[in-house]
Amino acid sequence: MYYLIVRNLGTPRCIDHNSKDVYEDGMSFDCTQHQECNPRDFVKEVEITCSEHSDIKIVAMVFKG
Amino acid sequence: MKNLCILLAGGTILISQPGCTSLERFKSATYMAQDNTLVEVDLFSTQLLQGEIVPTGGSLWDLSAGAQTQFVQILDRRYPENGLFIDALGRQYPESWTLPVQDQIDKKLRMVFTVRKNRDYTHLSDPASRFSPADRIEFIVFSLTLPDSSGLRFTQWNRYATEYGEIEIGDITFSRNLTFEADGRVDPVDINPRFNLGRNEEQMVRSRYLKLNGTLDERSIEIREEGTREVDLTGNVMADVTLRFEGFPERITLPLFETEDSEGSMKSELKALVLKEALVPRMKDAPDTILARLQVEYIYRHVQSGWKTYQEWDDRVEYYSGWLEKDVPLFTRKDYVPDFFCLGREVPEKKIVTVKNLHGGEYPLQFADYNDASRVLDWIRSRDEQDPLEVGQYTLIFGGMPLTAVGDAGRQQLKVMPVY
Repeated sequence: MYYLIVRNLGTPRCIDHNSKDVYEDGMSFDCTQHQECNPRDFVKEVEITCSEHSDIKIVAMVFKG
Repeated sequence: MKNLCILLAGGTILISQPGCTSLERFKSATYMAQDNTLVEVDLFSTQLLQGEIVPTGGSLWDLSAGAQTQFVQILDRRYPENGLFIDALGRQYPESWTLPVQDQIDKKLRMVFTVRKNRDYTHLSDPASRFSPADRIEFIVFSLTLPDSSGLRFTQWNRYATEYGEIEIGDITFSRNLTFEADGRVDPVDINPRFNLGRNEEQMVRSRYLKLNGTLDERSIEIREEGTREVDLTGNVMADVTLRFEGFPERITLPLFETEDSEGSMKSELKALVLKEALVPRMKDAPDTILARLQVEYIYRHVQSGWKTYQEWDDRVEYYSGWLEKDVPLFTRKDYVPDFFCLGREVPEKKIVTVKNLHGGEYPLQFADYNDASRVLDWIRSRDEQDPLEVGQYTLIFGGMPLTAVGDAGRQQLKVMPVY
C-alpha cells in the first residue's frame, strides 16, 4: 500500500492511500483528511494542491507500507 | 592709546558676533570613520493582538414582542424544569450553523524598536574618546526582514504617513521708523509738527525635518528617522503591523449537545457534529521561535569640543557611521501554533479519534476549544452500548476501526491532547 502524507506544524497526516504508486506532481487532494496508515519506506516527494484551495501547493511525501 | 584699545576691542566683538549665532549648525564637521559599537537597536517587545470573534445571531430579547411570547411558550414546553427554563431564556442562539472558528493565519503584532547609545563615561576626558554628553544619533534607518522559511509576509501597518517635526532656528526682526519734524511759524502761532511712524515685524524662522517615515513590502519593513538640533534619536519606535502566514486547511468540529432530564438527572446527549474549515499557518515544522533579520545603519554625531554649552554652533563635530545586523525573535511557538485539541492517546504511538462520513471521507475529530473536546470525551465514556458510536452522519473511528463504547480497552485510554 502507498500512502500520501503531508506534514504541517510538525504533525504528519495521511491524506490518501492507494495500492499502487499513482501519486504525481500537480494532483489534487482533500488536505483535511486524516486516514489510518502504516508508512514504512519513503518513496518520493510530490507537489500537490489542496482541493479546497487550488492556490495552495504543498510538498507531500509518498511512503510505502 | 586708550582710544585705540577700545577701538580694537569693539572691532573684535563686532567681528566675532556673526560667529556667535544660533543659526549655525556647528563650528566644524568632519567624517571620521565607521564605528559599529556606538549604537544598539533591539526589537524588545512584541504584543499579539488577536482579533475578536464576533458572534452572529441573537437572544430571546432581540426578538419582537410577539415572537418573544411564542418563543417563551416553546421554551416552557421544552424545559419544564424551572432552572433549565431560566437558563434557556438567557442563551445566545446562532443565526446559522456557523462555527466560532477563525482562520489562524493573520497576526497583529506591535513591534517596539528600542534605540540606545552606548555611553562610555569612563573615557570622557580622553581626547580619543568617541563619547560626549552632547552626542546624538543624527540619522538612523533600520529594517526587519522576514525569513523565507516561515511563509510570513507583511500585509499592512500603521505607518503610511510621514511624521515631520519642526524646530525654531531663529527670529528675524524688521524695523522701520519714519520721523517727520518741521519748524515754522504762521503768525501769530509757532508750528512745530512732529510725527513718528514706526513699524516692527518679527518673523520666526522654522525648519521642518523628517522625524519618521518608512516603507513596507511583503518581506520587510524599513523605518527611517532623522534628528536635528537638540533632537537625539535615542528612544523607542513603535509600529503596528499585520502579518499573514501561508494557509493550510484544517477541519474543526463543533459538537452540538442537548441536555435531557433522564430519570431525575440531567444528561448531555451529543446530537450532531458540525465540521468547518479554518486555515492555519502552513509550515512543515513548528520551530520554538521564528526569527527575523534586523539591519541597522546610523550616523552618529560626536561632539569633540564645545559640548559644555547647550547650543550647537560652537561644536566641533565628528561624524561616525555604523552598521549592525542580527536576528531578533518575532514569534514564539505559542504565538502562532493554534490551540486545537483532539482526542486520542500518545503511547505506545500517537493515535487520534477521527470521524468518517457516509462518503468515506475521514477527518480528525479536533476542536478549537478544550471544553468541547472534554465534553465529547465525557460523552464517549458515558456510552454503554455495543454498537459503533455514531453521531448523525459520522462514525467515530479509532485506530482504523469504529470506536465502540463497550469492550474497547483503548477507549478508556483516550484523553484530550493538543493537535500540534
